[in-house]
Amino acid sequence: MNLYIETSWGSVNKYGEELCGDKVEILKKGEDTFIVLADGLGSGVKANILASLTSKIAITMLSEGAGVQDVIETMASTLPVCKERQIAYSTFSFIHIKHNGETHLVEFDNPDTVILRDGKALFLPREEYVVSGKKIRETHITLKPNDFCITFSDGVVHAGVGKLLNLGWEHKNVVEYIEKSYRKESTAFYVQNLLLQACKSLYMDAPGDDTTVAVCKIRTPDIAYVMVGPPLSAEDDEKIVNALINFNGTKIVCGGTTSQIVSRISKRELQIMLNYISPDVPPIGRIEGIDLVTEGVITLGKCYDILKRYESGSIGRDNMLNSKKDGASQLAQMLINKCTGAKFVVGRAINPAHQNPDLPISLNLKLRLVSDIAECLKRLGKTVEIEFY
Amino acid sequence: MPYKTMQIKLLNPSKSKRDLLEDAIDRYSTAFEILLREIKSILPAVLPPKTELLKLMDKNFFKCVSNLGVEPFKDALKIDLARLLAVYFSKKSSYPVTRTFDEDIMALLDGEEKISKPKLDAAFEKYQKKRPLLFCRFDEKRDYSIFQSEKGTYFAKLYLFNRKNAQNSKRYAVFPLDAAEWQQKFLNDMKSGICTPKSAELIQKKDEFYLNIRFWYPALPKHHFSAYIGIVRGINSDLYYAVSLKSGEIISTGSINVNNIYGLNKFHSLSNEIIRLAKENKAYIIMENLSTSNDNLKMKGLKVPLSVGDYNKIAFLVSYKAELAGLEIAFVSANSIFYRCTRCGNFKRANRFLKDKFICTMCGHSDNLEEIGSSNLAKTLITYKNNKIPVYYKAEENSIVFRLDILDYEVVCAKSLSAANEFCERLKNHIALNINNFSKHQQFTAKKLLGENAFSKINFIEIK
Ligand SMILES: [Zn+2]
Repeated sequence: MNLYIETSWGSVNKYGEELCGDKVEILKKGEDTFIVLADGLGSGVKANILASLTSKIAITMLSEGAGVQDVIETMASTLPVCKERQIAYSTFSFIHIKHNGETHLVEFDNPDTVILRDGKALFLPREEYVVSGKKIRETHITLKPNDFCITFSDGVVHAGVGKLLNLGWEHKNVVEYIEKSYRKESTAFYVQNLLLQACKSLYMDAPGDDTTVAVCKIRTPDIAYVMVGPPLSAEDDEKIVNALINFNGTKIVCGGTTSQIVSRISKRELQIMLNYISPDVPPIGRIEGIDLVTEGVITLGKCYDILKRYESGSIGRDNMLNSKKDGASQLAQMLINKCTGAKFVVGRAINPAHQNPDLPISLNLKLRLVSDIAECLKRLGKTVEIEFY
Repeated sequence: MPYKTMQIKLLNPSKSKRDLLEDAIDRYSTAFEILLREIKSILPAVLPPKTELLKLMDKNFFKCVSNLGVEPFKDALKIDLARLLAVYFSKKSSYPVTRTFDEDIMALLDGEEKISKPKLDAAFEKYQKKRPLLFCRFDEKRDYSIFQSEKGTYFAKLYLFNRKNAQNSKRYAVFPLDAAEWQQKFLNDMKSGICTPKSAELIQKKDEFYLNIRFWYPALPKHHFSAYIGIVRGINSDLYYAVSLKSGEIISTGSINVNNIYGLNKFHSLSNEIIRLAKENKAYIIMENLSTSNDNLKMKGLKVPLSVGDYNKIAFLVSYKAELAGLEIAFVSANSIFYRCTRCGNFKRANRFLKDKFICTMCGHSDNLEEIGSSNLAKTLITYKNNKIPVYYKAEENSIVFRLDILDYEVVCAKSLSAANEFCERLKNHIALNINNFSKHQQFTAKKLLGENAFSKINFIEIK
């Protein structure tokens, strides 16, 4: 079975620097996922250039099957040399995950990548060798669903130096923090963002170094088929509903008229659930075999709010995402925690309920919301597809 | 009513003066024990009210000690006896013995029964034991008083003799006192009427004699407070404090330390510093209640300078000093203060895996543990006391997100001046629709918010 590799990365710049000296490149090629995290020597423009070149060279060459030795040699001949110190390099971590979880990890001078399985960091023996005078560490491991692969620049390890912690919090504490804050349902984004927030806080919001985290979560693929709104042409109704019913994944219907169409065509009763009444979000419905049935535009708008807040990493969002049971929260939970991707099937018929001039909700708004949600999910490492009817 | 006790030494009494004092204490102690035995036979089964008890000790009652010349101590003996009996009745242990005499030892040794070692030890321990001589009031004409000579020396005037034994026809003797700086402060307060001297005790330690004088300081009217100051046990310092405004905003934090002072003096210095900080910030003092709960500060491999016992001693000093200074003080459960995130409220043991640092496993917020603990403590009363319901809000680009944890209610309002009003309206709607689904705890809060002025019942706290 092909696994889905959910990825997310983030950086905070060294205090006062406009450019980040760390760079992450993520490449999905065929069924393989390649990730490079490069940390350029120093900070600012120079480090940024070093890291960008390094990550670009590494990801391009390695994804094309070049050996580590070739990559290092190419870097040595390509990277500009620092006049004062006669050295020019950028440390890097390179991760190649195949569709079956087989993973190849190469590290040059970066903090050890952490593999988290069931909330515990695995000990990975690494093979060490020298290429062009550079000590390379390499390992192979097969990752399983729900494993996390967490790699970071040394700005993470040094977080808090001279501020909250005299010596920074050191690799072993970073690992312990990752373990302590482990939640099975965490997304790659959540883990990445939390670790970055912790570093920022340890640096007392003035990082002494560029700080970058990249996280992969290995997941069993689960795509959400999200049917939004009735198709423009009623002839398409049956086709779309059948595709929904037969879809292999999570099935979601958004919209009052839409859910009636699904109910009619599938000959399954539509029930309105009144247990979770909220003044903000209309009630949800239930159709046998469908995972979630919600109202349309208002729910999507609210769902987008939740996604935005989740993405902005603002506090209390865990409460907001996981503890509520209204339609918008359930939709957001499914899209973020449960699914690895989404396929939005958007009907463009105008909802008569929204023709009321007091409710200035246009079709445009619905389309806008779907595309906003899609963009947000993409940034959160999900695969997204939109179809219009 | 706050009392303070001052001990002051009688300044090098001459041999003859020492004999007088020793004799007085001896007569008092003997009389006390005899009266204690005398009253046993007439005591009712339960402790009578104090006035009834004092009535039992009439003229006749004192006949048995008429040869001891204890007339000047009569009132003191009555009060002293009543106090001891009150303790006896409350403890219901065996009848007290304060002093044993030759006859008691002899009786024990000559008795028919075999004497047990503990009984003999007890009898010897109390043998000729001296009881502090109580002077029950400050009075120039009887009991005791203190005066200052023209040269500035303080003297104690102690009534020790009856008419028959009067020395140079005086029933009292005068003793110079050794008033150091600390004692001067009390005596100055007394002179200027800030405090009133109450009872005193004369005690003997080896060859020295001391007066323990109780002063009564009236409590000042309570200050209005505009902040809270939380005081926790420190890690890198003895104590750590945080000052929170009534809104929950922390305006200052810091350590409280004293160096090179130990024991009780150290505790006094620390408590004085707490009082100073509380005054300076017009703050209500909040301390950990460590007598019934635990702050869980200690952890393997982490040294904490003050023990729970030390903290409790300081807390005791602070509580009476606060009373004297007209400051309010509360002791609250410190159970979670070192584990609860001050930013998101997440409460987990795991938040403290770095021992002296705090890193939230939910939102990543980190800080020194002392900052977290003291800030949490300083804010504890805000929710209890105000009866206001905390609503957290965070301004985002175009909106303000409000969060009411108790009802698990979160809402995004447009960023405008009326955002809070909008929130209140929507909250009321939410409550009206859901009130039947709420837990009891939630309903309590919800009902408070349903009335006309929901706004005034909410404490809006900004999250940055
Ligand atoms: Zn937190």
